[in-house]
Amino acid sequence: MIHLQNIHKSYPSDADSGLVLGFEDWRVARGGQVALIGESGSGKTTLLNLLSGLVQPDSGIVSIDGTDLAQLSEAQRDRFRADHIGYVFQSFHLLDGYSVKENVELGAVFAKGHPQPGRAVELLEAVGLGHRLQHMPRQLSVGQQARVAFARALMNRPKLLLADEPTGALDYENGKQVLAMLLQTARESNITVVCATHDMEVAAAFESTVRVEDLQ
Amino acid sequence: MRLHTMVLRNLKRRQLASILTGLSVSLGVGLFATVGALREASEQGFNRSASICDMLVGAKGSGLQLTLNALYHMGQSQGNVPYAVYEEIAATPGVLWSVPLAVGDSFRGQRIVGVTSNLFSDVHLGGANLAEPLAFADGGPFAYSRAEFAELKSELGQAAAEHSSEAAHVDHDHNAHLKSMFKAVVGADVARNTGLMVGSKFTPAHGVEGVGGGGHQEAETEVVGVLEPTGTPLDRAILIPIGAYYVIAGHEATADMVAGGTRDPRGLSAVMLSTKAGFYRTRIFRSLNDRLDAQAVYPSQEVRKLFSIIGQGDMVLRLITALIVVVALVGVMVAIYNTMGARRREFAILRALGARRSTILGLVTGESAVIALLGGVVGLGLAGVLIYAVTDQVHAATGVRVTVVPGAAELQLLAAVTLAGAVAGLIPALSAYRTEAAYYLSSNI
Ligand SMILES: Nc1ncnc2c1ncn2[C@@H]1O[C@H](COP(=O)(O)OP(=O)(O)OP(=O)(O)O)[C@@H](O)[C@H]1O
Ligand SMILES: [Mg+2]
Repeated sequence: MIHLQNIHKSYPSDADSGLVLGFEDWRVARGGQVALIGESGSGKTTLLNLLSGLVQPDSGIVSIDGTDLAQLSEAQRDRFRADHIGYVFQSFHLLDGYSVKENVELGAVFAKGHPQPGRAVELLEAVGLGHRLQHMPRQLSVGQQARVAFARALMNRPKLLLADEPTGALDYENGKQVLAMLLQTARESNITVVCATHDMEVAAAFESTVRVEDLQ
Repeated sequence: MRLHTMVLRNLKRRQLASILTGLSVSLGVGLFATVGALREASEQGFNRSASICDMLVGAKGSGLQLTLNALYHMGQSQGNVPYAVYEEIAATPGVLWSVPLAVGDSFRGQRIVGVTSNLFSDVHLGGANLAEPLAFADGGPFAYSRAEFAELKSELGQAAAEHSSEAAHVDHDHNAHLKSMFKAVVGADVARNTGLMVGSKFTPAHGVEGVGGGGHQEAETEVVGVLEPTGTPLDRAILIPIGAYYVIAGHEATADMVAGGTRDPRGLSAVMLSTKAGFYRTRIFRSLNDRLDAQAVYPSQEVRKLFSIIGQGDMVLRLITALIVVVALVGVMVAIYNTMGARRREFAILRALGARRSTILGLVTGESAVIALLGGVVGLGLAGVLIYAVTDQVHAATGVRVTVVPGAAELQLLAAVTLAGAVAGLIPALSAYRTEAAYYLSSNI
């Protein structure tokens, strides 16, 4: 599903060498669930952005489900992301101007096959927010926001779900619930999951754990 | 959810700024459209007036001044055309009708025009296709034919010859029948402005525009008819039998006035005429202009010349109103640009959800285009209200009903304003376009 080869990624502004990521080969099988751990600043977020196509490597191949993202134009990468990738952020990044239901709908607005009437409501009911459809994100608790972000990431029926410290802002109980929900849904729908985290307990819930530093 | 929903949502979130900037666009568009519509109306109105007759004949000089003075009752007469010219015109084949004009007197600022009464049946408004005969709101025309005028002229000619340098003063008491000439038909505006109505009596004053001398006390005139509004300068005219002009004291010939010249007070101010179309008209026009004592002009051409002159001032006015629209659109641009900083995170999130850069560009240009479009629609509504408010005055002044219904020109204006709005939005939109998604996603602002 995921195949990275000879990846080099550096940020020109970095004082030292500037190299953030540099490794030869990394694969994740379809339906695999990988926890990405590493020191702060080790490049976890950068790696997720490479997988989503938001950031391009200096060199190397980022192949997702047989598609080499580097071969696509930026617009095509955007379309690929819209169609096949779900993304959950640490601070959830819900859009303030839109209701809970609309935020979830935005997960598929740019994808092929949109609109999918009823799917947003279904997803919100599944995460226990069926009664909060018309609320605005700021009217929700942080735990509820996490569920909305999760529902939004699933809206386009992604093949690959990327999560950047999805439990980082949550208390212990909420974190466990959201994580369990995420992993179970992914398993049921055969979605490949890559999740960056600091938390070893979170990492332990995944099939496998990869330390970014070890990739290098 | 569609893109336009997102555009409208963003505008609603910044309601106050959207409304204020939209209103400033409305103001500009409203003024622009109003100025355009009124200018259109005034030109149409002038053309409608020019269609009263095909040709005007007067003393040599400026054709425009002749037209303005004889047809629009503006400015001063350039001098007279000999009576004989009128006689010849009336006898020329191809001339459908002709009316001699005498001007120079007024009543309370309203100009008095001496005419023969065939004017009431021969003049049609709105050009050949739309011919509307003159209609009376009250009363009816006076009767004063060309034959009566011709008779009076020959009488006066003899009198002048007999009395020589002694003024050719017609003794009113001994010419009681002349009293029947002191009848008037007044235009709709005159009736409204002076209160003259059928049966009213008034005394003409010598001169026009208030600079004239005293009144012609002996010439008390009775109103016999009031015209319906025509939307032409006829509305501002007091029409009297042209013969009356020649028997009112002060209009007599004096010795130093060379008979037959343009200073000859026994001449005519101008002659209006209509001809058969085509060959006749051109030939009559040429032969009149070959004369040394007269010129002929086509009023419609003079009006066109006038509007090409006015057009430049009008252009300045249009430019100023267009500039107001431009300034308003710059306001829209600045208002949107100021939100860019706070919206980077939003653009980044949309990118992460799969939006293209071009979609972000479209979102922002869409916002300014929608403000411009809505502003434009409200502006046209505003123009409609403004025009509606003055439509009666404009109709009275020009005879043209200004349309409030949006036509092709208004739709074009709307399209142009919307496009300009989108262009104004391009500057903030390009800044949005350049947003690096990954950078703004990792920050928590
Ligand atoms: N846009 C950028 N420009 C320049 N340098 C960057 C940029 N983004 C990340 N970096 C640098 O790249 C390195 C890796 O950053 P990244 O965000 O991937 O780390 P991370 O493992 O996600 O850290 P954390 O656990 O704190 O989130 C850091 O040294 C960071 O300073
Ligand atoms: Mg990170």
